[in-house]
Amino acid sequence: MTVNGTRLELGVNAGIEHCRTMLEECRDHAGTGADVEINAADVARADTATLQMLIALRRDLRTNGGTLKWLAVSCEMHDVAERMGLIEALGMPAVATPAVTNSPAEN
Amino acid sequence: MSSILAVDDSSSMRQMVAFTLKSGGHEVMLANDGMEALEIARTNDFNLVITDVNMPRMDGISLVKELRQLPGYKFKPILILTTEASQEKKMQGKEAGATGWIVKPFDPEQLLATLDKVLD
Amino acid sequence: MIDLSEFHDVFFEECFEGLDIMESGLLNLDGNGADSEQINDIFRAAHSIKGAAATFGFDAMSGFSHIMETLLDEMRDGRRAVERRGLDLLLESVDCLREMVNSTKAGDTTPPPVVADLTGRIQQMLAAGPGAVAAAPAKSATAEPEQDGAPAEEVVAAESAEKSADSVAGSRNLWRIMFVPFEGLLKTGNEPARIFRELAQLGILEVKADTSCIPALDVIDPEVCYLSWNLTLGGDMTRGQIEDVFDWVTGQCELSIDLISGELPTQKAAASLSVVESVEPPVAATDQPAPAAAAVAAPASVKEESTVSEQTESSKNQTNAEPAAEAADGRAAASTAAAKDNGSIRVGIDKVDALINMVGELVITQSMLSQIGEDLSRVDSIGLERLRDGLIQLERNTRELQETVLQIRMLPISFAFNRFPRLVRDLSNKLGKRIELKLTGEQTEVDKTVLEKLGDPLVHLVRNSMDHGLESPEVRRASGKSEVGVLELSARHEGGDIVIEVIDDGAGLNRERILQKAVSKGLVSANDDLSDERIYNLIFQPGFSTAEVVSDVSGRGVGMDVVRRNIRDLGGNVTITSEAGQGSRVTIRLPLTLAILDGQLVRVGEQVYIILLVSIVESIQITAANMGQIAGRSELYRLREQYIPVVRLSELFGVPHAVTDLQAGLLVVVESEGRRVGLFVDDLMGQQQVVIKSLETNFRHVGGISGATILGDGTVALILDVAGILNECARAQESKDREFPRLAVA
Repeated sequence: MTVNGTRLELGVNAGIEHCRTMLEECRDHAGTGADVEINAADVARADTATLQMLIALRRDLRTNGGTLKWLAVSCEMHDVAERMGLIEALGMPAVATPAVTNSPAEN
Repeated sequence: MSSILAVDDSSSMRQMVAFTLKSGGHEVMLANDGMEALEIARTNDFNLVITDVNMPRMDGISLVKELRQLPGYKFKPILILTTEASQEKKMQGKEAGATGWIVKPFDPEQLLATLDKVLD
Repeated sequence: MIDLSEFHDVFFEECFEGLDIMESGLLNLDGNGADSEQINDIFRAAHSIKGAAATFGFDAMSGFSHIMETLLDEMRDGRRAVERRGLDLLLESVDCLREMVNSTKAGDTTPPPVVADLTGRIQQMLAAGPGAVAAAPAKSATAEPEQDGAPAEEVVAAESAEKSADSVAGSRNLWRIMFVPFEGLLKTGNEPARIFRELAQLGILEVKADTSCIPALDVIDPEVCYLSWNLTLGGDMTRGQIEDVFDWVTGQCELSIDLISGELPTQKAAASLSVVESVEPPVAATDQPAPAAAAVAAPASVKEESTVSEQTESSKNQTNAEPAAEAADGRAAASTAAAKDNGSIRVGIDKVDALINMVGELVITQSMLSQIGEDLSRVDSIGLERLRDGLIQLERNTRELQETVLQIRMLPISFAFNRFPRLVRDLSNKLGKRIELKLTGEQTEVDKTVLEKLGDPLVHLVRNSMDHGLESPEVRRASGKSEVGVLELSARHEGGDIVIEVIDDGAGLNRERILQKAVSKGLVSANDDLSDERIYNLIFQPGFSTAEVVSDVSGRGVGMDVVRRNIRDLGGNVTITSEAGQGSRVTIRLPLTLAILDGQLVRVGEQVYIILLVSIVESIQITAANMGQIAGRSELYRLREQYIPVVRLSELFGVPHAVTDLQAGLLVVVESEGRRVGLFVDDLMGQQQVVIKSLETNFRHVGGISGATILGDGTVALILDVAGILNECARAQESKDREFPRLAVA
């Protein structure tokens, strides 16, 4: 855990059905400029709704001096992001990292 | 393996759809019309709903609207069964919130392939 | 492969229905000009058959209906005139398709040779002719490779530096796709990720996302899509294939699909490694050169800028699912939608027959109970009163049930009449005569079996009228008639019967010729005094044909005698009347139902026979004064102006202990085919409903008897075949046979 950091855990289903819940969590970090770590190792389902929300989160954090780090991202979620051309916008690592790692992913 | 709700007031159509879906390894529940389907959908969690359009009591378009109001079915794939030429029905279905349509008479293999695409 | 064979039967039935719709539609168009709704119905019928056949894997049928559909499509779009040649070709194709359905049903899916011929002719018609376009390729299916007519354009390379442009090297086409979902797209359960996954299956996909519209976290609505994309897809896919992937979301996004490049030279691909924004739009050529399509409505969001070489046909056909006016959806021919809209269901005929049998049994039981009720009536009691009331109620219920059940088997006679517009049209062409067909009473309902068995006799009668009755235009003109002959088929209910008539205003029957022929064949003697009616009805005798040349139109071997036999088998009769120079009228009279009829019980000795009420004219007591006798044994009774032969049933059937004194018994005058005879019986008993159970299935055919039934008391009563008895008598009489016919009854 990094100082000033908080962790965002994504569940197995990170699809649109759960986006409202996720939004609440994301909003918790809004305006804080914190360094948020995101653990998406368990995600089996992800879609447009989720990803665009995470992009918004990343932007918000960076605007306020923080970062969004990908501790882990499941293959499924990485695939979806890649398919939608959002790897860069999300700051995701170039390849999926299904295991939680302490080395910060590309920012 | 998914669980699918198929709605059609034509018995032969229901049989054919059920037969096809089961062959594809899916679980199927059938309903005769929109009202019955709504009841069943409330108490069961389906991965997908296929419904015909012309049905008594509650037609397919209305069913789609109602289903979208149910919390569990807000974003689930809902498909309407319609004839090829029915552009109007397709659009009405979409406006009501349907994900897409299956054209009938349907090719069983194609139906299964379509469903596979839509069921993650 | 999924096995749908249990659904085959319904499919075949629907095919036949669809083909009938096509045929009658095509006939209607002929002479009435283009009726867009009608053409649309015909198109949809063909389309449904095509789709359904494909579902079941009947590819030859599906392919053939497809080409018919293509021709019809042009007609309904207004791209092709609706004229005779095309209609004739389509009518021939309907015949061919019907043949294919029949043989497939019989287990043979090899297309008949005529398929190839008709296919060729349709293709020729499609290729030639005004407004014709090259035969449109089948939907979805084969990817027609784009032809490279345009000079190589600037290439738009893909997304980020990570991607090597090598990934699109070597592909034949490069498409640029702009995809901007509207707000509601996600709410219908559609998901861009899935769409892109599908696209990626078509070829090599590069994705560039535009995230600029994503709002801040505090205002973002996650259910709304704020992303849009620019994609490039390389491969040999067609525009149509790409459009298919977006099919479900066309109304919920902005979508443009542009062909950037056809054949992509490899060196160009290798050269573009950098991320390039600008795209040179391809030379926008006008849409296809053919005058063809009027404003063809494409879905609003699809913009088409294409090179000349592109096959816009396929995509236009695909995105153009509906013409301007959409006829009522429920009239789909080959789908159960039609049945649903009428509130009807399909029931196997065996189930209906089982139901009818059950009702038959019920009638017998009810009759038995009524009998018991009668017997008990002598005892006075309130309970019995109630029992009797109950039985009366039961009788009413049974009758209602019976009527309702029999109605199930009833169908409008139009099913039998429907083949005739086509037949008359084709035959009048062949004969060089001008004949107008009139149909009346088509809604008259008839039992299904009767309907089926009526077909062939009607065909023969109609052909006969057309061939021998109705004259050529010249002859008609010469006799002061209009050149167009009128042939009428009519049906109506009369009493307990259904009456079907074939009426023509032709030359009528030639009395002299018929008589001559009958005499020469020994059917009658030259001295016989025969009414005109009797003479005309001689044509129903076996082997009788007065046509000089047995034309292949009426055929040989299917004579009027066979017609009569077929009608008799249905429990009916057929007669003909004629007026020389004016025309002829053939009248078929059939009992309304086959299974349950009203009968009069008569006693002869200790036997009970039943005479169907429909045959009975009257029952009288014999007055000696009116009895006469011809030399020999024939007894005659004078009934008003007529002398009718008397048949003693006791002698006919060899029944002992019967009443022999003519004045002690009763004469039941019966009629069949215009002839009358008096049946002498001991006594009349009650009347009751008769459930006919065929003797032949249980026993063997017996002369003079048409069936048997079970009476209320459980005994078996034989039902008289009045027509049969009359024939025996007539023959006996006319051949001056001294030996009165006896019919053995085992």
